[in-house]
Amino acid sequence: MSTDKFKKKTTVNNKTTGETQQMTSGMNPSPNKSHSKKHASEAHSSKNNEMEKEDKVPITANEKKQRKTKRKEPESVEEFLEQFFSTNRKALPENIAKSFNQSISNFTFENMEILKNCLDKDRSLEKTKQLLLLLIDHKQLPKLEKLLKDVVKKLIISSEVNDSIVKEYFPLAGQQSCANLDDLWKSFGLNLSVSGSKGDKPDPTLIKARKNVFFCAALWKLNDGDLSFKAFIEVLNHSIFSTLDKKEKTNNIIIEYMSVNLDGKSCKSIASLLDWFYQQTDNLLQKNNQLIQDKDQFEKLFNEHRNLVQIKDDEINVLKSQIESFQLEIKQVKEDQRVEKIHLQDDQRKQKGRTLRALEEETPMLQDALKALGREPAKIAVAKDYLGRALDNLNNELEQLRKN
Amino acid sequence: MKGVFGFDFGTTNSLISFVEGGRCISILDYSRLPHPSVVCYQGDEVIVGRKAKERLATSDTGIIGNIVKSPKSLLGESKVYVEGVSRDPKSIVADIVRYVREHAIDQNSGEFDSAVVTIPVDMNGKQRKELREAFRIAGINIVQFIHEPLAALYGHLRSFPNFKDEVQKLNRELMLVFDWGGGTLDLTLCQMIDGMLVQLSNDGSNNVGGDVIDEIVRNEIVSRHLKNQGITEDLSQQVDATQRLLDRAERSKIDLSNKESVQVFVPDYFLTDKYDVDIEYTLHRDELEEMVKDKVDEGIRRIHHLLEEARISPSSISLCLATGGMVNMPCIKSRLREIFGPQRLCVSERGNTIISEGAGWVAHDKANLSLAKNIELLVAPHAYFPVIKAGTKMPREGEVQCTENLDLYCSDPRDGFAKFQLQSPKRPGRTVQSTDERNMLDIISIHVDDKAKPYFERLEFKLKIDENLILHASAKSLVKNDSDKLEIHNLEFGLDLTGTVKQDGSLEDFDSIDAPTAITNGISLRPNVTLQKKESLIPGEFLYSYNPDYFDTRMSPPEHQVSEKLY
Repeated sequence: MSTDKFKKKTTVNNKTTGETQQMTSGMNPSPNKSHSKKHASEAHSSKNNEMEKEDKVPITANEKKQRKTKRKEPESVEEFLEQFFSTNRKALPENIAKSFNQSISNFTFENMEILKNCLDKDRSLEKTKQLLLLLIDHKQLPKLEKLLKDVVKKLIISSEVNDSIVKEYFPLAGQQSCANLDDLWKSFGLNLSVSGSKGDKPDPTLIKARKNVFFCAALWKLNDGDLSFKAFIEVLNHSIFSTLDKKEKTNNIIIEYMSVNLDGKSCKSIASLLDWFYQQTDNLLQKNNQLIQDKDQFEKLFNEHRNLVQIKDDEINVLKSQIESFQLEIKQVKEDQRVEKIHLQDDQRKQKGRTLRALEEETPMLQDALKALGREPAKIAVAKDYLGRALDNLNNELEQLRKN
Repeated sequence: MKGVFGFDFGTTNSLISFVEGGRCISILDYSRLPHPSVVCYQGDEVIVGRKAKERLATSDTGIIGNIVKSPKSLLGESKVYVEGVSRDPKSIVADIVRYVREHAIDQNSGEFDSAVVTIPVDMNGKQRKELREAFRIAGINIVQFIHEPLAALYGHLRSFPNFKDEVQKLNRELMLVFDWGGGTLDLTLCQMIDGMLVQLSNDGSNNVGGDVIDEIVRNEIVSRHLKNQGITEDLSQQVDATQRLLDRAERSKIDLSNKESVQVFVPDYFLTDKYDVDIEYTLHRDELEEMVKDKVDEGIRRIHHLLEEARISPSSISLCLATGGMVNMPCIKSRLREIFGPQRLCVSERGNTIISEGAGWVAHDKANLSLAKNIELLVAPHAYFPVIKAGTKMPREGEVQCTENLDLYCSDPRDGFAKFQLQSPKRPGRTVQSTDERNMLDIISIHVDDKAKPYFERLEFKLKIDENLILHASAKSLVKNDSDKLEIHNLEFGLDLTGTVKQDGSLEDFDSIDAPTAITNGISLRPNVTLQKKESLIPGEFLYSYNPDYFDTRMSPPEHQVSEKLY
């Protein structure tokens, strides 16, 4: 997977899961090594500050205007809650948190009106989940943590996800939790696909709320120390994450949760790990990109060469057929030459034989003619006859020779 | 040379021909003449061909001193004595064949180890077998035999560019091959029947060969010269004088075809001090024709005799192919022209080589020799069963043409013999009428149980033709367990020119020829073998003893059986 794709996926994730915007913007993996390093160290040093950084989040015109006018800091927990659920406040500055912590005397939140307002604005319990994440971040302020936990518990219990098992899982003060995550998920698992009040189609807000309730339950246990981080991840993997779309599935979610749930030491290690991980990822991605480029280049070259080979093959076949036809022609020519040679030999032998026979026949005739002339008295008639016949025959042969 | 070649192993001359590039090439000797079929044994030396012939001073054939002329005629004898030395005729033939083959190899690159060999029409099976062995000794396998006149005709027809048209044109036509060579005169009447060239009849003479005529001319010249000189006493001659006079006589014979008269002059002919030692005689054409008239008349008479025997008039002959050295004599040419007319007479210019060329073309075309006439078994009563049909392809080297074995019954075993009579129709071809005349080929007789009922004893009958064109017949009785066999050597063959003649040789349905037919030639034995159990085939008197009810008049028994019953 290319870095771009990775980036894209992360962005999609940001869009789909609003609660992770600030984290993903802060820990967005980048193909740039230094960039990823930077993000890793930032994640390690100032998580909360990072969460406040919103410059990378898409900002509307109104929000820009609001930012220009300095935001009023909350003076009480109630105010903070109102702001948290009503505006886009997502963090609690440390000094304010400390002041809240000191002022808290009662660990139960009794202002039901505020709770009702909060619930109205947060049907999906998304903000509730974020609040839980935030209070875990303020573990060093136990009073504030306790109070906000109580707020979260009451919000969940009062929400539309009002299954009995939820009440068992989040018991009111003085009661013991008697449910486990599996039962909770099973009950949700059954209900996730159940139609909402509007009709046959499941209500997506309710489904989201149930997921958030389950997530809060798991996080609750993690925070209480009843669940290891590994088990927490496994639980999420087997539950919420399994219901996510492929594009929603990303390690960033885990990283996000990890970053808000781990203490400073662990963050350091995790940051180093992430740093190493991003380095490795970058390297691998670069290598992958290089390999893909090489592969494309190779494929291109291969196709070019294959086409070239095909062309050459065709040429070879043409040449082969030409060679074959030439060979046949050569064979035919050779055969013709052989036959012609035999015919010429035959003609020559015939001619030679004729001439030889004529000479062989006429030589004794001439010898006899000579003998006839040598007789006393010379046998002129015989000599004339023999010479005449011999000459006739030789003339015939000469004529034949000239003709041929 | 590649493949099979043609070999004309003639009485007078021998010659190899092969086809290359559409031309038939004959491998003649250094004088461009065929190799004389003459061999001379001088001590350990074997002299073959022209050099051996030059030592001969006579036209006689056979063994002359240490010289053997025309050894082909000696085949069939177990051994002969050449100047007191016992020799196998096959080895004498092999000496000539080997010489001709080696000369061919010397002249042309090639192996020359498989040949189609010409044979005279009258060469029997045993001679064919021995000829094959002689060739094998000389390093040649005989792929196929071909009769000389058929080879001559094939060579003549094959020289036409439109060979197939010529064959078509001559379909059903009669042809005469007139081969008047140095040794013999051979006449063969042929017919083209459905693409198969077959011999109808043949005739010939050994007394009118060219050598005999040359000798007559020579003797006449000597006697007339002596008469002109007034010499009455016998004068001895020089050693080579006879041969020189023969040469002069032959030359005079040729020159007289263009001249009215020639001088015959042979110096130093006689060994004498008293008279002129030279022969000097003026020979006129009329004189020459008078000298040879008897021989020419005899030769021409053979033509008429052959045609009369075949009941054919000369006008029925479509082609007379005249070959051999003698046919160039003006008197013979004119006589042939008188009989056949110039249109139908073809005097081959390649008289010396045409037979060999024909064999070469047969080898090249792989033309098959086929059986010319049906081979029939006479089955009782008066019916012919064609065991091997005309047109059946004859086996080549290493092949055996077998017919199916016949299972027969003995219809009348009272005399204790089953008689198998083999016949052949006189008319060639596959289409034969039951009324056609037949020639008896041979009879096999074997013992059967004379006490048995009709059709009780089973008989086996087998026929096969081997590569030497010999028909082997064998018969066996299964109760008496007697057997006999015979060989028939005088089968007649044709040459398949188109390759369209069926070669199945399968048996024809007996029912189709079952009807009793008239027999025009006399049958000495009453055949008693049949293919089917039919009471109508049993003699009446014999059948009556086993089945009297058969003769009840209400059953309408055949008349001839009723008559036989009275015996």
